[in-house]
Amino acid sequence: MNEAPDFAQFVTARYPALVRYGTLLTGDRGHGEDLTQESLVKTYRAWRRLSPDGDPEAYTRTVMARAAWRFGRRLWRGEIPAATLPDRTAAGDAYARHDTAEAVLAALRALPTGQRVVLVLRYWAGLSEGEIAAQLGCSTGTVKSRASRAIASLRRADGPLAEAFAHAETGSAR
Amino acid sequence: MTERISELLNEAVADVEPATVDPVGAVLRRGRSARRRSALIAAVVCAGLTLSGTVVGARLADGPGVGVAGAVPETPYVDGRTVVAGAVRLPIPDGWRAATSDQPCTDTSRTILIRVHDNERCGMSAVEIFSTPVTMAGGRVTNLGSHVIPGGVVAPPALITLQGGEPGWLERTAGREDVPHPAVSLALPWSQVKFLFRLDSAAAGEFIASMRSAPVGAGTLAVPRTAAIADLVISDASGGVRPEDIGRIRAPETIARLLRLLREQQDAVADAEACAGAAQATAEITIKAAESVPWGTEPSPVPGPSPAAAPRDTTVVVIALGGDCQEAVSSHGGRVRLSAETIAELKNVYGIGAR
Repeated sequence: MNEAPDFAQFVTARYPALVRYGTLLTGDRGHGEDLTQESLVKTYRAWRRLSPDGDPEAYTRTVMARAAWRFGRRLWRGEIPAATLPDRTAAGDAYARHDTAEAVLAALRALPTGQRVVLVLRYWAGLSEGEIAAQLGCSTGTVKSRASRAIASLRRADGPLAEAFAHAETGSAR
Repeated sequence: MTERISELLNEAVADVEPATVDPVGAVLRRGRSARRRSALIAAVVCAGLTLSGTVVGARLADGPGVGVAGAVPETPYVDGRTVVAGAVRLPIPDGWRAATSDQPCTDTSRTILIRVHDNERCGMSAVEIFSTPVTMAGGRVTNLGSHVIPGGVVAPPALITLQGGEPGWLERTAGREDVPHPAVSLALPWSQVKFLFRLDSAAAGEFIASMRSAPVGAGTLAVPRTAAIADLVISDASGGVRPEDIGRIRAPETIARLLRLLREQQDAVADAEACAGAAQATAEITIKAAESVPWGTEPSPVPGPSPAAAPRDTTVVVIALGGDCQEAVSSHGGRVRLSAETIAELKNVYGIGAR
């Protein structure tokens, strides 16, 4: 049985990317890594069935999305990360990017689980509405409505990303 | 606008680095820890093991993805005094031997024969193991005069649960106990292997009860996105099929309704909580990508989660009906618990909901 070395290679190569995906799905770095590891346990158990022609990364991502979709914060026993927004700094500052990242993650955490997962699958993973519906086992109507509400929440004038969107719209108007 | 959202999401995780230095070790430790918990639960619930291999257990709170079955059938092999077939281990009883079909035949009445491709020797061994895609359970042909499915239907198998959680499709043998050469067929769709026991039901049951399977984790039903035709056959616990319990659908919108109904079932059943047993009635849904697939030649390519149907692809879903253990298992992976309302809706899709 040589599945363990193959699995180790897969995890070593793809773990950082999967943690980033988990971070977006949960809105939190720690929970994102937790979700990643829990999902990789399932991938490990399915490894013999997935190899050599399967796609373990696609499988893992699907497990992650469905776990986040179904369980949301319940997966982490109600623990909610602190939403600490750092003070704004000048554009171009080395800290500005960090601030925006924190603001985006805070905004993601503020979204209902379903909206957050759909948003990430649609605008980060680049899946179509149909593909998201198939992956999550829901209707395309549900995907559309959750995505629409998520965008509306992010764009709210008093929301944490209002400034980021304002910059973008100003930039595009120029 | 959408580009800006993508940019923001990218920016949010651009600098995210894992905190875990040894992710492989962390994952394996988590897996071992979860396995110990499962083993503890299994040890408790195995008291409910019956000859049919039924395991009764408490539900686990676990997050499922779509179930995934084996990629390709793997040739079974002998590991010490155990035959390993997919995720299942079959202990070799004292006085028995295991052999591959390219070896000389000796005492076939106490031989577990592993079929080797293109070799047909020792064909009357007491136990035979075939490594093959499982796209049909096999069984008695009934209702030859059916107007719904011309040519008759194969009676659905019983859905059983091996120790460790692997589901099996067991051919029903009620009414055939006194035949001169009894045989019992067991198909394991996830491990893509079939067992043929040329034994009476009791002796075959002892073999089945001794099987152990490795946990694979809970998953929802893997079904294709589209199909050309889907048949439903419902049988009682003895394998009897009433003509009115046979359905066939072809209309794309009806097929879509069926597939959506199956895909939307979210109550994935963990290995330790699976409970389907031979005493339950069953329903079998056969979903084909093309209508003209020749009998018995359906390949079963292993899909990714929620696969699109490939030409000549066939997916079989077997459902254990009734009681508080109503479970569905897909040949492509995944097992879910179904409500009475879902079963009613399933019958409704086939236009037999009024009964």
